[in-house]
Amino acid sequence: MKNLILYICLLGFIQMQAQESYTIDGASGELYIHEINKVTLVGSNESKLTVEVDGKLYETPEKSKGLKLINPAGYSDNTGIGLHVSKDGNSYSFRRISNKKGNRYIFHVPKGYHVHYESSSYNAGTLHINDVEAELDVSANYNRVELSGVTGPMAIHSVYGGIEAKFSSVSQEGPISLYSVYSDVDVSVPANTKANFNLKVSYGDVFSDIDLSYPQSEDGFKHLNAKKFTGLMNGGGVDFTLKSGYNNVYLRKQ
Amino acid sequence: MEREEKIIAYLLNELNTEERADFESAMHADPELKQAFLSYQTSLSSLDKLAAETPSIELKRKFESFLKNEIAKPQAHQNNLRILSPLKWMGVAASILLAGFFLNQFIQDAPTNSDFNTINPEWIQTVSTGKTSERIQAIHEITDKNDLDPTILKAIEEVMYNDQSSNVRLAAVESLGQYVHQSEVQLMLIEALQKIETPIIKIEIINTLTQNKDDKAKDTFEAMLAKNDLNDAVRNELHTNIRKLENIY
Repeated sequence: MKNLILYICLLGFIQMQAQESYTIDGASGELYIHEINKVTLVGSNESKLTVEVDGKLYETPEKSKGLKLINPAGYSDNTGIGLHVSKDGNSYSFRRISNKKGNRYIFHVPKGYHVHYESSSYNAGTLHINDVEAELDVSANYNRVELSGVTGPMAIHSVYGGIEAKFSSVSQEGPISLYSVYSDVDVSVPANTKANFNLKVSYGDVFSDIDLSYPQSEDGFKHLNAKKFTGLMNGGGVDFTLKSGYNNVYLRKQ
Repeated sequence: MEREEKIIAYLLNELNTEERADFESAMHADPELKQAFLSYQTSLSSLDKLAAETPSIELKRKFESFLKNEIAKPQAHQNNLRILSPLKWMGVAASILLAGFFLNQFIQDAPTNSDFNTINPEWIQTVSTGKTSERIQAIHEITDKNDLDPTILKAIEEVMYNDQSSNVRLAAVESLGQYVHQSEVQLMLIEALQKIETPIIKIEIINTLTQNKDDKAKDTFEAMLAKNDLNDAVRNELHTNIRKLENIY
């Protein structure tokens, strides 16, 4: 029994060791992620950008031995982890090579990076963003986007996927915008957050447990419209837009 | 010769016949080199296109005045100068030309009594080279604080078509939406709806046009539905908004 446990631990250790990765030195830059399915972004305190494959890398079929994976755009796997990376100064663009669903890619992102993610694929899966302090620019068609421990600034939209975000604090450095056309937008912020919430729903409702104040406009009236209104939290602060076309917006305090 | 220098030399026709042939063979064998070449080629053709815009005399005068002011400033900035790669230089050149293009367009298109100061160079610099959040903020601020004039309208339109981030282009549509009751803006959005391919931008434009409750928007939506190559989400949005417009009438 003892030997069996040891053997299982050893297997786990070997698998961990076998996790494949690609590293770029430097604590700041622009990171572009184009059409890569199943991505996780994790904040990092290290002065390097690391991309890991979660699990074992997708193996090309036996029949492909001696052949090269052809990508119509001319990209090749120059990272050893099934991705193509191109460099322009301190700007790095990662692209998927294979059409197979493959494994999840985990990007460990230093906070000095500015992250751009775009995906239009049905197979994009959930985009996880954890503890990332870098500025985020996300454009998705089908992804669900789940964020935790984030601060902003950020601009995120998904046509079909929902967006759920738990902020550790709300940065006052720049605007925050979360927009889903067909799904919910569900956001939690710390109780001491200072923000101007711009809340917009076309066919859904807005739900919140925050006492928002509603500013008067220049004509002395409060213009309240159930589909589009601005509410200030703790006297107001950074512009924070939450928008859902066909579903609800949930705004919670932690 | 560095790879980047060679690509530029090839594009500028500075290689001899033998060097050109060698470079072309290398490109066939190396997809990465070919990709880099295509990027440079695209950048250069964009620069050519921008450079083809002849600056007006007024632009030239303002640009010379701007340069004089810059030269007169203390030398502090020069200490920060770094050696840039050729691609970086092209990026810098593109930004300058883009800013020049903006200025030129604004001056040429604006009425003769237009106040040039409605858009300051700092704003142009931000929307040309700022971070995504800075560009979004700049777009919102200029429409929140200013009455719409042709100069601002042109600037926002440029961003709606050309910004590399669809989130910034989305912000441009939202800002234009504040003025959709003006026929000029309505026509601009109708044109953009047919030209822009990004689904989220099309959806935003459709919703914005619907707010105006105008027949022109409904006719455009119906004409678009007759096409077969529509994205599903866009098609759905067109149907929904046509129904919405029909209920209003």
